[in-house]
Amino acid sequence: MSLLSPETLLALLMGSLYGIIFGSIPGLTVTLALSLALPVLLFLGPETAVAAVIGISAAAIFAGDIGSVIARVPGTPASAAYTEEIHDIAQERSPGYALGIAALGSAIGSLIGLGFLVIGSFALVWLAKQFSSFEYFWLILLGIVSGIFAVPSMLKGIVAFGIGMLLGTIGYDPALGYPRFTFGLPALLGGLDFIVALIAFFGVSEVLWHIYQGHHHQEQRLRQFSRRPSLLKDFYVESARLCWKARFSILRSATIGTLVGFLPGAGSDLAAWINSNLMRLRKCAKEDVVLAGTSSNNAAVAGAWIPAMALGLPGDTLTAILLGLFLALGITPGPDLFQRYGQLVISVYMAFSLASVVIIPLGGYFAAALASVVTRIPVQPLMGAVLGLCILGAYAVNNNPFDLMVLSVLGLFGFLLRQGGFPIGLVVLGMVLGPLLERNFMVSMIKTHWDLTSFFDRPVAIILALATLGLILGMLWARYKMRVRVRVGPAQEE
Amino acid sequence: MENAPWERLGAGLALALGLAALGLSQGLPRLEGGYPGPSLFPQILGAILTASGLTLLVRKSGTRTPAPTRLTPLLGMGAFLPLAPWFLGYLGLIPTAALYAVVAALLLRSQWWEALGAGLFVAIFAHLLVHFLGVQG
Repeated sequence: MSLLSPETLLALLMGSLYGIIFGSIPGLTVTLALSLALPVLLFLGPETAVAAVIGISAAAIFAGDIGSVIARVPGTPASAAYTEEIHDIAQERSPGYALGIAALGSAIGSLIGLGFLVIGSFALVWLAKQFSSFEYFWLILLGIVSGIFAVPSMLKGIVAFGIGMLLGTIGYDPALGYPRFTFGLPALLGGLDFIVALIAFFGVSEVLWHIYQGHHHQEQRLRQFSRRPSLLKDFYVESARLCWKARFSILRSATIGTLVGFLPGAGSDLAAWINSNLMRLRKCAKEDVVLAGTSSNNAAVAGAWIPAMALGLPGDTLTAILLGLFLALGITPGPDLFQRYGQLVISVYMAFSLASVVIIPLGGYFAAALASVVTRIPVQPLMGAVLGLCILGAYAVNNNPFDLMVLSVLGLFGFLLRQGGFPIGLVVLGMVLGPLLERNFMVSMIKTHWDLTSFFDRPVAIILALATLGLILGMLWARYKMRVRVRVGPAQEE
Repeated sequence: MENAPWERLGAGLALALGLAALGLSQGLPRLEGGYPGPSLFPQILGAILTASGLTLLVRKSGTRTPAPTRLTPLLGMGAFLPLAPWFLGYLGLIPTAALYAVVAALLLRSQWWEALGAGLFVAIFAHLLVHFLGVQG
């Protein structure tokens, strides 16, 4: 069966629609979507099933931006990196424009990722082999440092990261499996669920913020939308113009996104965080931050397929599910895949290009039309519904009532931190990166009997360590210069 | 949006969490040979949070915004939210999600019919989720 057969095209289309629905609703993750679809996919042929998987994953990662645009609640963790910016763009210009940037950025990112998947897979696989726990430690530390310097107040960035990383230590310790801070509660042994925390920090805190602030923002919001009636122009023309202007930045972000995506365990979330933080560090416009994040997280989806197909190693949970599907269908991923199932490999490439060129821009347009309608709903009942959906989404993740308690506590934390000007995005990032940093640090230390110099033994580790040090010194210097300039400015005027 | 009292509260939260991490990690075991074990990371984070929280508390505070006028509904929702597991046990998932939608909409000064609309939307959506996706209601 070829990719252009009606069954396969239908699977790609249905998978994309399913992915858009799941990706746009906070709490319903792309992982959950794929897990739930597996029983159906097993009854389809390999090419049809793979087309559906690509449709689901590519569309869901893009659709994560829909929740951010409508209610400042990212639908997927990969969208959390630039939620503030994309929501602000939707408020200041229009939801169509914000989603147009996200859709075109995602499509281009996905295509660039596909280019790497087709051409550079062998070179990338070689590079991945150079990464051990030492390199991962430095890479994660680089992500943390860039996050801290990307916010206006470094101290508040440290606090936000610290709180997120501390929340990440709850449950079994990642290196030795010893339970920490569980207070005898079995529900805490597995740690705080990241999706529940995401809903709490972005969803519940948003509702609480609206309750505290009153609803005067709604009138302003409606006036802004009524000024920009042309969805078609906003979605395609304006965003395409912006993408052309930022073409080199998109290329860079998607390239980094692919590289991060193919590293096992890194995934599209980290790709989006690194790239959007890099743009914030350079004081770029909100549109550039969104383009960097959205192009890199979709490129990372393609990037994660490289080790999955070539080595049989999953880059993230999505590709882990995909490998399970391959094995269930009697296909063994790895170098043999390219020789024995050449047609399937070509189908993967074709499905990626179709999803990028056709599905995301078209599906995105309909999503933008829907978002324009939803954002005209008065903010009070909309926020009420958001809280109801937060309760629903938080419970649906594990069917565990305890998660609702976690949702409440973290939602209140999120509101408090947000009011105090602490970047809550970094709390969420800390929850992702903290356990990874600790695991790689502890594994490295146990391997080398606590010899700290081992972090500087390997060439790639040294490069990453120097990059981290360079970033710290460069940013401290830049901040010092800025402070001096601010002090000198008024004195010269006198 | 930041203001001095909230910044102080955030700093206080960081300080409290930092001290709690330092205190609670004292009881965690060490590795063979006396090397630090599961307590190492929480202790580092505890020290960082304590120091940062203290610094934020003692330094000059940020921009001040007008005094809050909507504190009562916020406190009301703050007290109502942790009751969600209790409501879930008594009412089930669909009514609980709908109830929170209605209460939040009312606290946001919605019209009663708008609040009911929000609750109805959540109830229908929750029903579909329970019915088709197997979420246990």
